[in-house]
Amino acid sequence: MPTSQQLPLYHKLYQLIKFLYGIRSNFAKEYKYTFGDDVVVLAWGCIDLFLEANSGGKEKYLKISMLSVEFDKLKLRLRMGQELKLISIGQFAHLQENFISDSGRMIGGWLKENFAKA
Amino acid sequence: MSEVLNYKKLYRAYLDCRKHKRRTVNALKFEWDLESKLSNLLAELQSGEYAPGRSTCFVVENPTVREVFAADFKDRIVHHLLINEIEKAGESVFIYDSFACRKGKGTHKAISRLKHFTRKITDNSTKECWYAQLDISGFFMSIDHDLLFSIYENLVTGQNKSMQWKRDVLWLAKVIVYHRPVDNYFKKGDRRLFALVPKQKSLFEALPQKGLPIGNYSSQFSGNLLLNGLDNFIKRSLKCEYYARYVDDLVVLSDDLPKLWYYIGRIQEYLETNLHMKLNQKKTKVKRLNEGLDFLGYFIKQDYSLVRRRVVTKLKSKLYSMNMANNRAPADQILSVVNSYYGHFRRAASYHLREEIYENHLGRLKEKFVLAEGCGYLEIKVQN
Repeated sequence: MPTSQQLPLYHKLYQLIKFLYGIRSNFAKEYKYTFGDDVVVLAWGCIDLFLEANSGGKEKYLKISMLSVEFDKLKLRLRMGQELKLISIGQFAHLQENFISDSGRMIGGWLKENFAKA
Repeated sequence: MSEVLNYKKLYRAYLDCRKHKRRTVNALKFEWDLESKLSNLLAELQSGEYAPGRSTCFVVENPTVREVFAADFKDRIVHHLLINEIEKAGESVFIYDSFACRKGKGTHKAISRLKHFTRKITDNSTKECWYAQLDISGFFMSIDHDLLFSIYENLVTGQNKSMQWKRDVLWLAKVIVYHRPVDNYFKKGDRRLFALVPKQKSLFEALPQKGLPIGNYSSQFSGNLLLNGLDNFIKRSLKCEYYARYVDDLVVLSDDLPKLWYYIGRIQEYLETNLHMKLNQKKTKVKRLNEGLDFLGYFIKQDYSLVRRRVVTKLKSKLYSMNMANNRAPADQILSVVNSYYGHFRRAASYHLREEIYENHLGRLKEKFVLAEGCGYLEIKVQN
């Protein structure tokens, strides 16, 4: 089980996926199952890596750094989604304010913490 | 949550700021780490810790020697944030005939408006028309910070918005207006050029409580806001019908010469008492319109207008350098350069000029382009 420090990150990522499913349903048809799937899969990848990092294996630091990279990939795609007008400016701001900036900070902190241990 | 200092508005300001500038190094550097940079900037703004960063200072030689301060990309976003908020309020107080830095205005609109004025005054070229062209000496350098901020204050507090909105916008305005880039800058380009900048046009020589940096988006808006008082004075108190302004270039038209001198006197009086500025006596011109009015890249006469000589020379020298053997600019790039000049020319009587430039100055490039019908623009020649 993750420590109480990490639990908020789980919550953020979980909420993020939920929100992404919500906005994906309004994507234009040609993007809904291509670009939209990419985004959702990446978000699931993030939460999976979170799980793996917390599974107590030896590769904790590696997993967290992988999570960090995966999260950056997701950010890039959301940026593109906004430019393709799939995600409105308001939705983009909501994503950033409520999920991305907080989770990013938490992942960064977690990474730093485990860098000392690794 | 704040009405102004929130992520949505900031992101929108960022998008506006990035427009047409996306490929520049600074914009790309910012974009690489966009999300966290924006949220850091937002946190700074919300906590009130934000302070403008370092500006880049350089000198441009054309058309005149000017010292430019280019703000940091982050600061440019904040300028856009402020202007986006306040632009609508500004538009509602500006007069119709202020043409600088506004949506739906611009130099071409100013020129066509002036032509409209001349036709009205001269009764379709049957009467005489006089003009006065006024120039404020060292306009941007003589803007008083306190005075400017008080105008911002009046504008913002008069809006039908919440207290929080007013407080946030005023705070932004205060930070931007009172910021002095001369305290934190680095010089770029040829250092020798800095000595060429006239004293009254240099921010380094200006009094500490005066001067706005040329190059900031906010400065242009501030200039408009400051002279809006003058505009309204001329239109509403002097009841001067035929008046147009582009930044600090003022033109008053009239069919009555003594009246024109009276206007100039009153304008000067207003500038000195209210704005602590002076008219540039050397550049003040009062002439018959038939002698020509040199305004915004055109030379306007009573019945027709010509292109300013400087613009033509510039195009010719550009074409000359494009004809050099070592110039490898692609055809479509050359085309867009020449056509943008032709777009400018087209608004004046320039049929023969355009023809002449094509025939005699295009040189080697003539193989690639043809002149479209009416000499309006160039086209790439279709290879048969």
